[in-house]
Amino acid sequence: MVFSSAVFLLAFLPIVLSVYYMIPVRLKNPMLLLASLIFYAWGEPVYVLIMLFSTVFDYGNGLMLEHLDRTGQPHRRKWVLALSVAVNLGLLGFFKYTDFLLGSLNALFGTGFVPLRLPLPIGISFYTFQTLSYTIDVYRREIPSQRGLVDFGMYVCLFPQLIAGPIVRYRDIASQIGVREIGADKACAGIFRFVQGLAKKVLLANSFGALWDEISAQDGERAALTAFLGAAAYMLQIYFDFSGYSDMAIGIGKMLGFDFPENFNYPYESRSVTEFWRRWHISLGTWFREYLYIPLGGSRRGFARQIRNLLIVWLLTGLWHGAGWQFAVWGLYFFALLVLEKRFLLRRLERLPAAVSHIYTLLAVLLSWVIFACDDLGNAWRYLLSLFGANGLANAASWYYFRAHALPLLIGAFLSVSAVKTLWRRFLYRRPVENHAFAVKTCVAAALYVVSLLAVINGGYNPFLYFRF
Amino acid sequence: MKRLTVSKTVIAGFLLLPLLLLTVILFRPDQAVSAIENRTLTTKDNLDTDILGGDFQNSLEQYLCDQFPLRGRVKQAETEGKLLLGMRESGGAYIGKEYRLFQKLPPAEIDKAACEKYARRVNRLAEKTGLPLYVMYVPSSGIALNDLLPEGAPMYDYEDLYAALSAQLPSAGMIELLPVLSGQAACYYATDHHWTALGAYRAYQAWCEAHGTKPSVSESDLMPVTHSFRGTLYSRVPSGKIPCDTISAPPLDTALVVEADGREIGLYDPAALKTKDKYNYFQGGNHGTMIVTNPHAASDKTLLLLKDSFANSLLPFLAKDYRKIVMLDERYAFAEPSELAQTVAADEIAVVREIVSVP
Repeated sequence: MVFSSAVFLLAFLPIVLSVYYMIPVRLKNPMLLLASLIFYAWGEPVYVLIMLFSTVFDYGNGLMLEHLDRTGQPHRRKWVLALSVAVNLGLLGFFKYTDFLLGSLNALFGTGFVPLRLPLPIGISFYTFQTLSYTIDVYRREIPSQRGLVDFGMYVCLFPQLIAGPIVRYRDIASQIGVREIGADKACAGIFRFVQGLAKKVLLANSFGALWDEISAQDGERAALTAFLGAAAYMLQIYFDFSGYSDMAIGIGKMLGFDFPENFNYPYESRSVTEFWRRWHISLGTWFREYLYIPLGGSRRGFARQIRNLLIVWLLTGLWHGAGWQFAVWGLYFFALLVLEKRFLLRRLERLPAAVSHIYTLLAVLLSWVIFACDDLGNAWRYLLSLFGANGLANAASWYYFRAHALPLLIGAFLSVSAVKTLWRRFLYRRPVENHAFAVKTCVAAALYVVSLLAVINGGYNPFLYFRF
Repeated sequence: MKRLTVSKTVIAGFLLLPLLLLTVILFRPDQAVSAIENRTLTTKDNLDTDILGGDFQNSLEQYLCDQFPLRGRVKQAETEGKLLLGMRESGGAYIGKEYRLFQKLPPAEIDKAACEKYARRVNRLAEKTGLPLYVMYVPSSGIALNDLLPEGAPMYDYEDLYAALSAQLPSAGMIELLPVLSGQAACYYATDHHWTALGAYRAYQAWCEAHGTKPSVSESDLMPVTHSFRGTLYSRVPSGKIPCDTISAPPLDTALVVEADGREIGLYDPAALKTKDKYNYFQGGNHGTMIVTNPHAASDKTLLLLKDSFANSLLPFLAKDYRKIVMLDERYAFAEPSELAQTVAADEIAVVREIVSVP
């Protein structure tokens, strides 16, 4: 089930929340587990078994790690960890990368492996990384293992962040699993946050996505201006879509009493690619740093080792987003930029006027999204060529797109930076609005909610972008 | 009110509003069709039952959306909002000058290879049967009325496509329609992608010219049958600003017998004028095969006509000139045209379809 659907908005969410608020505390976790399983099985009636297997498996691993400590056999712990990592990554690898591997082998060596064509279980990359974080942290003795299977199952399957993040590490919410504050003010803040995310997804992201889809389907006739508008549309689509999902997840979390970590922090106002990745999909960056980059040695063992570590991390970050060469190239592109920035670019950027570093970052990110969004490298290459004027700078169609979409794109760009938040707060906390700030917020949220709901009902373009993750 | 009470009210609203809507949807009698969108809606009775394959889930989602209260108004509001933002298209339709609607057909949406393949097949049919073949490709309204499109709106390259298809049809007599339809706003509906009876009449004149005959109907014979037609494009872009179309047709020849898939029907279907899709006035819509016999025809020839829905409004004119017309819509019938030509003893074969359409 996805958040931007009638079934979720009209039935699942209000029913689950109503029941959740009415039942006694001891039933809340089992009820959330059940609701989460229904949520997942709604879209994946078969693959829900894989998620259940992962849950039980890592629950067992956690207990085993602690058992080995208690019974004085700590040397065996690493085998449990190795098994957990192997099975988790094995499942992820099997479902996500088998066809990519076979296809690449076929292309390289002319072999004739038949692809499996298995659909990818939705969210497998997210929950695999969550369960891995649990086992690794228990192995590192940073957290105690979770004794309750239901409690652990609820953590792994928790529906708000299940299919599109943020990647919530077990330790982030370990203390909230048993005891959490469920209050009206917090739930209300959660509703506002959810509505904000829903509006981002269905009012902004979907309409920009439709423009990108149309322009990326063109070929010879796509002039540079058209290509730029298309790429800008995708840039806004992916931000509003992804951060909108995170807002909805965090908002629902608050309604349920959880505090999930933030996932986006106005990435498009970064002044370098390094800064961009500190503000974009923060939970993924944190995961890779904690569980891959630092264990590999990070930056502590000289520049050459650091380069190697960055290379591994960014290649895998790329491939995490999808099994295809364009994602590998996308990761390596960021690797190259980040190394350049570490070496000298960052120092220079700091000395330049802010506008220059902003433009540099936005262009670098814009190009990366073209590679990311195209179906394959050939299309990405042709798109980049058209962006640089291979089909001319502008034609009649470019101006058609410009007239129709320049205003929405400008509005989108404005809404993607923190200025809008600053202005909103300034408006809200100045007399005479100040005394009615809550009422104003409520009215705006109600209006956004109704319009978003109508947009969902109205149908039209409403893609789920994370089916490859 | 205390802050906490206010928060609780917000929460109650957030939970009760959707539940209320859900109750209304579930307990109100289902609507079977959407007049504005011109399509059947999902009802409780036609929910899918396959849960493991996910079809039940999809149909339930569709059900909730389809039966949502005031759904038609929502579509209208969407169109108005887009117009306000400066957008000149919605749901695959361009909103052109004078609020005329055009089907959006950018180059990427045209399957040129499939069109060429079909043209080759038709050409082989002419060679195989040895019968004279006439091809009338109808330009889409956005091509013929290019000046009325939103400025710069991307459309496929008609000249290029026409040349490519003509090259595949060496055995055909090509009757080019763009010269007679170009710039003629009255030849196309403003709210539907089809041509009007006048557009079909212009094509009929071109047809007669190519055959060296005189038209059996004159332009002044066309009579309006309804002034309240809002077509398929309107369904995608409903808005109060968009005017209604008039459907006209030449008078009925009572001696005509029309048989569709073995069943007798009328050349016109007045009942269709009471429904949303009034273009179905012409023979009640598309049929796989249709046989039209006219004992008073100007010739005793038999015509095999391979067609799409554009031909439906051309038929009343052609029917005056042929003893028998056998129409084959290959989207709905799987008859092999060469065998059909033989069984009905065709004297002539014709193709009438929108240039971008393939069966």
